[in-house]
Amino acid sequence: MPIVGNERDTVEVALTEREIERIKSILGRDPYITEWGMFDVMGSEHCSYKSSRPKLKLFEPAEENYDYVLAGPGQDAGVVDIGDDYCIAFRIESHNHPSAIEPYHGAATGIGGIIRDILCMGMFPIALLDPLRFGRLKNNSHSQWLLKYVVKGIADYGNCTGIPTIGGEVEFDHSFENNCLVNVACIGVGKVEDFTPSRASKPGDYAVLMGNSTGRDGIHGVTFASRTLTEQSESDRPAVQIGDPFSKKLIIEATIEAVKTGYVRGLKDLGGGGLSCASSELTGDGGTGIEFDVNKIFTREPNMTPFEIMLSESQERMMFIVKAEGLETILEIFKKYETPYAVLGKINDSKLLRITDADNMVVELDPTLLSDFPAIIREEKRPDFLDDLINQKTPERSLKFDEIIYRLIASENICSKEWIYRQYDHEVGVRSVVKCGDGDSGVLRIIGTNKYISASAGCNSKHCFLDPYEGAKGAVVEIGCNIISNGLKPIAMVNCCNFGNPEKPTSFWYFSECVKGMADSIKFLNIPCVGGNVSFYNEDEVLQKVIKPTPIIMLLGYIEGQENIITLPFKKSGNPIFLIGETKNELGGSEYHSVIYNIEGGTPPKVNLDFAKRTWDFLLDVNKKGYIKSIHDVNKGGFLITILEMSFPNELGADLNLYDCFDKDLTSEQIVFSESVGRFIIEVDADKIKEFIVLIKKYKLYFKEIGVITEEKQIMIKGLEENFNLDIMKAKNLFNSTLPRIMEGDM
Amino acid sequence: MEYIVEVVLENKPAARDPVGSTIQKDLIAKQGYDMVLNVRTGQYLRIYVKAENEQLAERFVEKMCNDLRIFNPVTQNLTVLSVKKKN
Repeated sequence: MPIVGNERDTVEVALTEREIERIKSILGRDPYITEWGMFDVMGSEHCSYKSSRPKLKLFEPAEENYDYVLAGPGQDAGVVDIGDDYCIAFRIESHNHPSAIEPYHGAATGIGGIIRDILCMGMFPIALLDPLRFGRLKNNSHSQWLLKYVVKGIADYGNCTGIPTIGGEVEFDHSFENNCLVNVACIGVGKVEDFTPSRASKPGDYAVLMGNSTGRDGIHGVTFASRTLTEQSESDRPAVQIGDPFSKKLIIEATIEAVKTGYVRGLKDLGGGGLSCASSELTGDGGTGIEFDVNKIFTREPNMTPFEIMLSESQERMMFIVKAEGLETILEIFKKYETPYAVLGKINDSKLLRITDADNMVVELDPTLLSDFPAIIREEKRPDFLDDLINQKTPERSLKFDEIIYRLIASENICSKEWIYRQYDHEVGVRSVVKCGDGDSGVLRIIGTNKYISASAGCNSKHCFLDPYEGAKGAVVEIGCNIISNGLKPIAMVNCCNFGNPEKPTSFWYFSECVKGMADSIKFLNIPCVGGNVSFYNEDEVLQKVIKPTPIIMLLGYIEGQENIITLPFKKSGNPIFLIGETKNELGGSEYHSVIYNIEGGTPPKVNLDFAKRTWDFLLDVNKKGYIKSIHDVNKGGFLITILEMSFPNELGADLNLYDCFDKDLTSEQIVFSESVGRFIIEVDADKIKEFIVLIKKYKLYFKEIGVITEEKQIMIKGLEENFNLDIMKAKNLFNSTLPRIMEGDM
Repeated sequence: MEYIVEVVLENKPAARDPVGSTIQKDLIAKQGYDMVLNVRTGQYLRIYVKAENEQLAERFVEKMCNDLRIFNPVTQNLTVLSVKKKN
């Protein structure tokens, strides 16, 4: 990496020679050392989105095209109006790199950061979700260590701040062994008048830094996250910070009270890039400027240089832009909560960021030079190995169907994740309506209204690995199906793109294709993208191993009326079971291939968006009529796994006759194990079958009545290559015992 | 031979210690004890181990704590306070 600076100080920066020359020529001088540090962090991939920005333009502008979107991409969180003066803020981001070397504090500070993102929109944080990826667990102490402490970090921080974790998703795959993924999402609620944008738009306002003191921790955290992990990462200590949920709780209370006064015009949290990022983005995006002395910033350690102060990523800090007439009121609130603060200075119209250290000028530049870093056009190339992989054939089946299904239900990616979510407090705040395990998404009541929201997040990394375009489409549809399954309507999306090194054309191709897939599908489904986060460099340089592409989709659902909310457990014997959606020859990237044969290839699912949209419209329509008693979307392992999951809670069985229900060209394995996207298993009220069928025909959907719910604790399957039965209690035991057995030391 | 190895695990000096600072701020400073400048917390382990001699006992405990990730060398320091022969 190039070394820059002057006779007195030098610093190593992760900037290209071209970027360095550009900075010098625009400024017409050599930057000061603190400015170099700021250019270095703000030019990092994490802050600048320099590789991803050209692709992210594919998402249509949310604020312009959807009247209920109050804040779209570029703000600290997406904000949507849900009527009657209420709005919802939500965002997802990655904390992969810190968590890979210090899982407990890495995950905890990830939660801390995402809570601040919601808070700084003026919204009160009410729920967390965490999509995770690790290496395979069995006989792998490193993956087990990461999982154990990531979950503990999330649980401790979330529980201490009193914010419930309502959902999440986890996949285990060898590609994540040294680069685990920890994505964290937060949802907040508030009144429309409390919505506070992340900019300083009015000269004369005061900039006030509030929260914990600034220390030497985390200096250069973002440049660390914009690099691949190497052997040296263990000693990259400064990039890991220690979370402090107790201070955070006070900061949340103080911030909400401050916002309620109406005197806060702008608000931004200090995360990656610290003060450099907050001060340059607030003024750069607001078209204003500011001047302050770094000595006003309260530090934890003596003798910190301006360079260290501007680059520190100490946790639990917020920057408030306060109207002049309200300054005293706001400061009184901070005093009441005993949260330290410093009035840095006044916003002015100079369009300059001027920072002094007593009498010395240490920074003097146009903040947009930092906040709008030029994009880089990256090369893309489809990997050569893909064709061979997609052409992989399913090996000859040697096991019986029931044996395969018992293995699948006990496999790491399908088994119950209760071991994880029981550590989270998922009920604190008395808003949860559908809890972890009872539905496909977490559903929350907005207290004081008849409004309900839900959220679900995830994607299928194996499908994306084989076909990133279709895989990303599949992720949007699958997450949407989770929302629909609880009776809510998807209204907005945020995403978290986790990929390898963008400087490598094949890694960048995966990113590019996934963005296309996401953009095409949300456009078709009329869902605005209101925010996102990109995490590149999830790649192990030593082992030459790249993670499977993981475009995590998070959707927000909305509905009025608790009577519209449905859950997944089978309710009553005698009710018929329907399968909606087309089952195709799509075993590529399936759990069947991976668990039974240890192969990753085959033909991955293709997504029919038109069909998905009609299915959703039908389900929202039929749901209002109350014909549906339970519903679950078909996901990993195929539709029999879905039926088993629905049978476990109330221990009800099913009698299935699959004769003539599927395309004649499909083999029995393809029928049972294919992971075709957009399908649902539905329990219909036995008295309403006729009405149900009339309505479904109107929507021209693929559907079959495949069986009936029974009292017996088994699923009986007829009409395939062989007839077989599945014992519900045996399957349930396998489903529930896998993670505890692995994590508590039996495997 | 059986040895008692006393070990302290604490956050590295540059890392924050929220528990220690809460004790210092909320329990001590508020009562007027302004001569107390800082409090750092840690974890104390007393490990009983069979080994041939003191050095081996100490080295074994250090390696075990590291290998099993009983502490994380990225954010914490391990200090062996003492190694004593068990009576």
